[in-house]
Amino acid sequence: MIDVLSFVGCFPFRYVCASAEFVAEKLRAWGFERAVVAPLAAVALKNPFKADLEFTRSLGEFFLPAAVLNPEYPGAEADLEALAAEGARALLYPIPYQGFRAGSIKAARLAKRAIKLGMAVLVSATLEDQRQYPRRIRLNKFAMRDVERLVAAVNDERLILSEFSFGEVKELAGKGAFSVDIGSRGIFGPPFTQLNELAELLGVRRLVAATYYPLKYPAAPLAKALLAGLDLERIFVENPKRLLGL
Amino acid sequence: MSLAQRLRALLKALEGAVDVHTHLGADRAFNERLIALFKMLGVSRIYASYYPYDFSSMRPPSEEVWRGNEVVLRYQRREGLVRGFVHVNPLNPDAVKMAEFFLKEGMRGIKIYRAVRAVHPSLEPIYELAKQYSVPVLIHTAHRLYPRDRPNESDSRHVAQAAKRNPNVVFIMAHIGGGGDWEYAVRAVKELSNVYADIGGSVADNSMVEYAVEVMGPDRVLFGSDNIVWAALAKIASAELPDDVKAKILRENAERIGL
Ligand SMILES: [Zn+2]
Repeated sequence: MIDVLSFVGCFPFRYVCASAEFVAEKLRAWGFERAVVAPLAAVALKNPFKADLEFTRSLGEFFLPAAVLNPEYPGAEADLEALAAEGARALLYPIPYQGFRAGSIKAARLAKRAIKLGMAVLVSATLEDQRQYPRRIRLNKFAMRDVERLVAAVNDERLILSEFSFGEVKELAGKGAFSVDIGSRGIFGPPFTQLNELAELLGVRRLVAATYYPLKYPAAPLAKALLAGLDLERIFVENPKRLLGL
Repeated sequence: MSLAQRLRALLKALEGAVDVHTHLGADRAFNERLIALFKMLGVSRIYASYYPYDFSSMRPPSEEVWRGNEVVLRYQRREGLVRGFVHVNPLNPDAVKMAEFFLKEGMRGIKIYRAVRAVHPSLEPIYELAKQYSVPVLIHTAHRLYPRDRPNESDSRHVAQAAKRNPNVVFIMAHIGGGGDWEYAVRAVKELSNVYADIGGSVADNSMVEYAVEVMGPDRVLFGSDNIVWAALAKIASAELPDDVKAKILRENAERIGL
């Protein structure tokens, strides 16, 4: 099985600190053979390049490194190319932490460049429930119409939407091609028909699963797929392999 | 463990569990699906109150509350799996009478939603009733929400205050995974031995259950889903706790408080 998003490092908002070895061991124990992984250290940086670079170089076989980049930062495209050359396999937009406009021309351009380079593009609406953050920390709210613009501009199944709700994903369907992470908190109800509806609406081809380990409990996407009676082989093996070019 | 073994273990993780926090509502197909899901997982009992979003407001009028509670009572009579918690809007003049009626009919607890906070004086006679019938009071709780509290919604501090004032009443602080600062929540009730917490809600942050056990001890954490079955299953299956602690959370702690 392939996990389309996990993390390594420390998180600024809650005590979560995990090494690559630790994360690999836990995910292996849950049956994952490979995992896309992003550096937590880069998530909230305005200029994450150096954190990405060091991280990408440090990882072993198990991991498929994801680069966190801010598309509005000067030189982002050159950064992406340098990281791709170092082995990065995905681009991660943790939108609210970076604060850029997901609907901007720059965001779409960088995402399309990543796809040209054979990478997947993960768009995360949030890494965790933001209602638990200290009250003075206000992350950027982003508009769904910006995400809609990004989906329309990129229009590729390698654009993977994560942590969007069932309603939001439904709203985006038909606006362009994309895939969905079934691990997203706002998906699979109640009602318990949501995953089956998504499979119908987008095709099972477009469903993949991210654990977000160690931020979230790793069994969540497996639990959902099992309860919904979905095809595990396609969601956890075939689809991520295709999207990640493995 | 092979993947197939992992998956089988995952589907058995809730076998024999007691879910202290579920809801049945106006949509019959939904109720049937929920019940079927719990049966498939081998859950032995679920404690259900009426789905609060199916009321017309946070302060539903008496007739609505009667009807909602009757729906739950019908399921309790028909399904061996289901036991009721009576939903109470304490601002209704017949709130105590209604609660007592459904407790006499065999419901096993009281559910307080967002009509008033847990410290509101209108709840005193309800707490008195809970004491008299030895049933727990499940309080819908938000856990220091960002960016601000919502009116009439209890947070963990209100639950703590109510529990301090009513030491002989068992309180269940609802869904630590319901959104908000769950670390704060379990610490806020740490010293109060009459407060239990259920692990329900859609937030499945890693180590949430372990932290609740670390702070509150293994005897006051309860298994509850608040209908978010996948999250409850994932939390129990992933939590790195010894089997005897999981057994306490899944069943034994609930049994100790009469559930
Ligand atoms: Zn509830």
